[in-house]
Amino acid sequence: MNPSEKKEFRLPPVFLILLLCIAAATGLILLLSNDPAEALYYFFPGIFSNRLYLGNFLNYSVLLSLTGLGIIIAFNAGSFNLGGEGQVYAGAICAIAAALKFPDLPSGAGIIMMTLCGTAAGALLAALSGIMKSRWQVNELISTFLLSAGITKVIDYLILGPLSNPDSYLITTGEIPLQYRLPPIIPPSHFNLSFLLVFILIPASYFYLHHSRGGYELRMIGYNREFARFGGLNLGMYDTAPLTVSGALHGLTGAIAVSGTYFAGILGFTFGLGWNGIAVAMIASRNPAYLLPAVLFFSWMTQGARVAVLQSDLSLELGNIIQGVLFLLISSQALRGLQKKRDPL
Amino acid sequence: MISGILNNAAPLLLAAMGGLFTELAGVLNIAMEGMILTGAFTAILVSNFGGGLLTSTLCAALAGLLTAWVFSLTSFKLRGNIFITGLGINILMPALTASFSQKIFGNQGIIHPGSLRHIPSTAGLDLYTWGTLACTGAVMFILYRTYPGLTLRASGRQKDLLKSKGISPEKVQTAAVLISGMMCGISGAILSLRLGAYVPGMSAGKGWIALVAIYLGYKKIPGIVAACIFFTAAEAIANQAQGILQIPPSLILSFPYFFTLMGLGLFAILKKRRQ
Repeated sequence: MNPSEKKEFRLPPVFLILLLCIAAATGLILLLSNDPAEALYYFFPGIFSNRLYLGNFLNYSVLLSLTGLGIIIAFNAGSFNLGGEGQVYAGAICAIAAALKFPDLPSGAGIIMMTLCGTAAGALLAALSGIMKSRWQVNELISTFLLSAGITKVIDYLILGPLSNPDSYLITTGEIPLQYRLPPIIPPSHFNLSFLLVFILIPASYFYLHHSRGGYELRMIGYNREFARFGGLNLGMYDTAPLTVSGALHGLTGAIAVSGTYFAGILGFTFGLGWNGIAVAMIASRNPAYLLPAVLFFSWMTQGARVAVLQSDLSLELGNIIQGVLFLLISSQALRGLQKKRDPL
Repeated sequence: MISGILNNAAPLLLAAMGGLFTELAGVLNIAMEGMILTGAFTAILVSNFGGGLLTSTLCAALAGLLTAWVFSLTSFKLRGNIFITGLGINILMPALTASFSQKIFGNQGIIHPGSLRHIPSTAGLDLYTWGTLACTGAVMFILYRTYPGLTLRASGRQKDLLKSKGISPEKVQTAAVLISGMMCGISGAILSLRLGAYVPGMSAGKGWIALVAIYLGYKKIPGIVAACIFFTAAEAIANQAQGILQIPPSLILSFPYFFTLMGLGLFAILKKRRQ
């Protein structure tokens, strides 16, 4: 397939899949809601109707872009990071622990400290899987998932136990100091300055992957491992580093979610950021250039589903259902109109 | 003690036997987790409406089969990435069961039907454990002593050979996925019918652990049986430790995953040494 052909044929088939997902969501609402018109209103245009929903939609998009980018980078190197959930969670809890331990730093230093701690936690988790992959060929698909699932339970324990806030009626940790909180741009939503990171990191990743020697080598390994080995590339390094960067981006997401949105650790508050990062990476066909539209679409679907559930009589896990359907369809070669059978990863 | 461990190992073993079909057919089946949960929910749903043990179990098998059908449809017919579609099943099924639970029972929590049939047992092992053991024997016979079993194993190893004999490997793989769906459905039914209730997330990583048990057992049935018993015993010890060492229960929930990871790492290191 030559490049020009690619440009012509890539996008529309993805749209077909996205349309199928919208259709599935609509069908479910029609089936399960007693007042489908109202639910559909809140699902589709409703989230643009007020500042809170709009701001939260944008804020969720920022977080999702970062996890999506993390998946894309690992994905290009042929590594699959399925531990996103745990890495986000770990990043968040480390940021909180740091903030609660040193509550008296000046604002900027505190935020930087939280961000670094969170990023390091995510990176460490993913690096473990990377090392296991490069040294012993442990499948990173399984190891990232297991590590993440295990660490999630440990963090649950931390939030329930040692870090819990006895004064709150919710299951939550203590809140981070006021000066460590990123100020909102569109109050009352939590949309904040962290969106600038997206506009730095996405172009930087695009440039690295597509216009640098390192990125070329990385993608070569992702496309054809044997060829890359034959070319004398350091496979061990490319098995570990991209996965680590991926984990770092997830940890960063967790830290930002804490300093900008939640201000405390709430039990299980990652809200599918890790899984959804995989979905947007797939929609974007592992290219950072397509990431932002993919994120906006997906964020709209999930936030729309949430608002619809909040505002109407829908009491179902609509968001997760849409997500599940999307996952079932998103990687389909047949729906993308690709005739030849090639290795899916 | 031993019969208790065997009883607890039964759902895991049954799921692992289902997973062995897919594994030998060359399909990475991570959807087992979702299939088990579907089976567990269906079994309680049916027994809530007056179904007996047999009916509930059969319906759970059917629900697992249906889930597996969706999984195979999206993976093979639509040529999706098997890992992503498997995740899709694992995300979709808990959400769907929660939604149905809300619609039918009015809550998304634990479902506890009023009257449940007693599960008969002999010699310390209940009906399901005996069934699982019999099933394990049957799987061994089918896979290694019959022509369909040979075909199935060939589709994992020698796809071209199958094609040259005019058999579509994809059809064989679909059949393997469907079989594993049924067995996982029953495995879920065992979990929920024994407890007498459906608890959201009650599959608790069993699908994943079954997969790792298959790897740890080198894809051989005696090895898998040993691995399943090992995991169950480890779980039992962790539960005992809870009382003695004062380990908080929420922390113990992480043990199966870490044990599994360690098992996987150990397996990989041993394999590397052998080469």
